[in-house]
Amino acid sequence: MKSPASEPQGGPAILVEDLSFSYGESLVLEHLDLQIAVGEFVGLVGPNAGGKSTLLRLILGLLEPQAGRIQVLGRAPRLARRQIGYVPQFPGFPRDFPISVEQMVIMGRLGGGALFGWYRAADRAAVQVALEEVEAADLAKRRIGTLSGGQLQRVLLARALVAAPEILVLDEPTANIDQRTEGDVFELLAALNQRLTILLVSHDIAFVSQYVGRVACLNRTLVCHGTSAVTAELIQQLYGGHVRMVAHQH
Amino acid sequence: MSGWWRTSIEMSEFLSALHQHAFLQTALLAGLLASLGCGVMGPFVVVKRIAFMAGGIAHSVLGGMGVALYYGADPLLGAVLAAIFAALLIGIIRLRWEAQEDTLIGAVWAIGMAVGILFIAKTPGYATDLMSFLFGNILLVPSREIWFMAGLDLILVLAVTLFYRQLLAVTFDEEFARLRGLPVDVVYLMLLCLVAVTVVLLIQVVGLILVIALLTLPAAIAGHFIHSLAGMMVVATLLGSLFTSLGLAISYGPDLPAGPTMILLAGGLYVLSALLSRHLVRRRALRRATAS
Repeated sequence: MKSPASEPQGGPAILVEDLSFSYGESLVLEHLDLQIAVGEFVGLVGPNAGGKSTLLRLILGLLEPQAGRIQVLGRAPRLARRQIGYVPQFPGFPRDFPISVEQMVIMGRLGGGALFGWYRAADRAAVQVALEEVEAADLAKRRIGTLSGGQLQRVLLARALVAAPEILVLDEPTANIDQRTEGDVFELLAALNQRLTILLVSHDIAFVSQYVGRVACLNRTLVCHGTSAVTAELIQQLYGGHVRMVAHQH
Repeated sequence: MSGWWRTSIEMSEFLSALHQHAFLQTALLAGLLASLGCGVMGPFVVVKRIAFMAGGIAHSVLGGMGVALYYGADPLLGAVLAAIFAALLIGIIRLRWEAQEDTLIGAVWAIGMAVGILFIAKTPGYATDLMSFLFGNILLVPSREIWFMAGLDLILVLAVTLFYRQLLAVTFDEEFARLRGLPVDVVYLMLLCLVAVTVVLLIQVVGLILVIALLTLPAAIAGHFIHSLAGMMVVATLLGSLFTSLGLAISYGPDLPAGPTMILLAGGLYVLSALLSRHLVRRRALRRATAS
């Protein structure tokens, strides 16, 4: 299923120009160019250590580019952070933390409103809407430690959506869930793409290409193309070895 | 039966002495004020897993106390300044040189203590018992320090009430908090400074060696059964009050040191609570497995 917003429209939501980045001696990204238009659904694929997560961290403003530039919604990434909803691959919190789903999701509302004091009624209402959108309203009072992988993924998505972002960035959102739930998550993302620009990192190139408008293949450098152009030759070039391409439907 | 009888006699002696002696009333009040501090900040220390940092702060406080004594200033003021300095130093170390965190915190810990011991040793006409700093003596808390402790409690409660959202967010998920535009480093350093203030409160009661126990055990026991940070704060405060008051009462009759008595009570209940909590988790898992 292709998203209705798969064709680029308007100015870029994310602009990456001649970007290079290294951790010490190890060059992770090299002269990288990428442009994602408002309303696009782009899948970022590539081998492990190919620089996918580093690129996401640069787009989120958690790392500073060493060469080249990045703009998000026409601004520096740090200034556009609040317009981005982010779903991490590995949650940065312990699962036994004493917190309920609704207390976690409401943290997505931080950064707006008053500096002091507690959350307001509007914040709690937004949590309810976000949980309903990801079909997790019944989980609101549950402790996060009691959630399954698929349930946690939906809750993380609700936390990313609760502040009404313009861009949704997801890092391997289906890595810890089963195939049936994976399909549900992608259906949900396709629906969200009606109003959001989506950048999604995934290891599953074949599955991703069923849903996204465009695939960006990253292995230190970037090759960007539409989903129809994903060929065995390209995958072989990307992953650096002989590969067998298997077409499959879920 | 005779054990219970003896205990009840000792308790009634304690209550009678409490009624008569102002120093015991002050000690009880100091214990309750310290319990409020450990109840409010302990859950942050436990869930953020920063007990080692709190230990570094606690031990480096001796440096501030030693310097204050040497120059004839109030050791408690020296303790507060040293605790805040150590908290900021340890916090900045953690934020900037994460790879060497353990070693560097250990260095701050040891250097602080060494400075304190040197200054105390060279203090002219030094009369203060080093042991009372290390192990505390709740019976010797001067009544004027009760106001100081109440002031520190007020700072803690106000700061946590005003910045609860930010403190919770940074304790829970620093990266996400940063993405929401929170000044994570500032909030993190504030959290450590509040822990430092709590450490000074508790040093009055149990001394700097045993601070970590009173800071973590009531909160850890609460965490076995309560599943919200705010709930843990209430229960940890109540438990802290129980341990300090009961520890004071039990130690009074046989003239035992009060601090270690309180810690043994807390430690004993922690072990029981951990076993019970583990048992309940297993039972729930078994019930779920057999029901499916």
